[in-house]
Amino acid sequence: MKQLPLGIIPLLSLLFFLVSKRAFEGAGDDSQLFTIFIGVSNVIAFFIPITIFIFYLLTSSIMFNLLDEKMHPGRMAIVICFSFLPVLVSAGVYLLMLYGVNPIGLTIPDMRIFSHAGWGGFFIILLLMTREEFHLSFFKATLISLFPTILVMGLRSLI
Amino acid sequence: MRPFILIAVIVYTIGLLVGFQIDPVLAQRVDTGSFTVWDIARNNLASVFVNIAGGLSLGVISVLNTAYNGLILGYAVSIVLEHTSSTDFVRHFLPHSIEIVAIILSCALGLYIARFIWRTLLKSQDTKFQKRTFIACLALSVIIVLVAAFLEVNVSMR
Repeated sequence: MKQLPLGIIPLLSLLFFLVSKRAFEGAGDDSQLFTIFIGVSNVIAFFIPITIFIFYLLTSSIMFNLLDEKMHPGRMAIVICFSFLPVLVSAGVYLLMLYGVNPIGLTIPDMRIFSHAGWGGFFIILLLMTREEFHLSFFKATLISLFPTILVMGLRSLI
Repeated sequence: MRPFILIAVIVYTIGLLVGFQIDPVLAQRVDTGSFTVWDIARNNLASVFVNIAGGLSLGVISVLNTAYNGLILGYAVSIVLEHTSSTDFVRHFLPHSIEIVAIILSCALGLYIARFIWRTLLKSQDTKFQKRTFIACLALSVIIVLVAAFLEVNVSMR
């Protein structure tokens, strides 16, 4: 039962895969090159949640070390999995929308905001649960959950 | 690092051969605009970054990205050879072809990260991360990308 949150990652991977697959349907190009491109994109989409999960597990471990705190990898893994819940919801809604199930009339620009809100939720849950689970100060929890992302985004903006 | 480089070479070669076999599609529009060294370097640096970060996906993204890079090259080569002489091809391609080394090296780094993660996180084995070798290979990849971009703009495109 304790390992149940870990199921969020494969579920999210499946959603990302289905969103990518659906998004490419009806693209109107059936050349071999484009078909391979779609296949590669779909597989990469499947592995994005796993990649992000491992990224946060590794960087959290580094940050805990730098801040002289003790991290339990199993507990941190569960914290990260729970943090993915808002992303799971936004990906699920997006997939439904791509299949034409859209009872509240969301548009693509709305979905962009919804998706950003999902990732915002990810960081808020990650911060609050890290703080709660490991009894850390707000400052340390913020550093652990946000600093690696800010660093990567900063480097990304340079390139 | 050697076995990972070998795997990366095999992956790239497979992509290259597959790309060579793809039926060419005639492009209706071709962007022949001028590129700066930084435009090209940025594009290849992004590919290097994806290959290395792909290690976090247990190497799947690194392998896919490398194979796809090879595939695009194979595809491009098959089209170019159909329309120009091999001398022209060599003159325009060979000077900056060293960027392939950077792609292969970065894939090897991604695979190295993947093995480290597999051993430490999933199998709880005590594995030493060879920081010096890793940083040296990373620096080499970046330098190669920058040199290749310079050669592409100043030699290949002339």
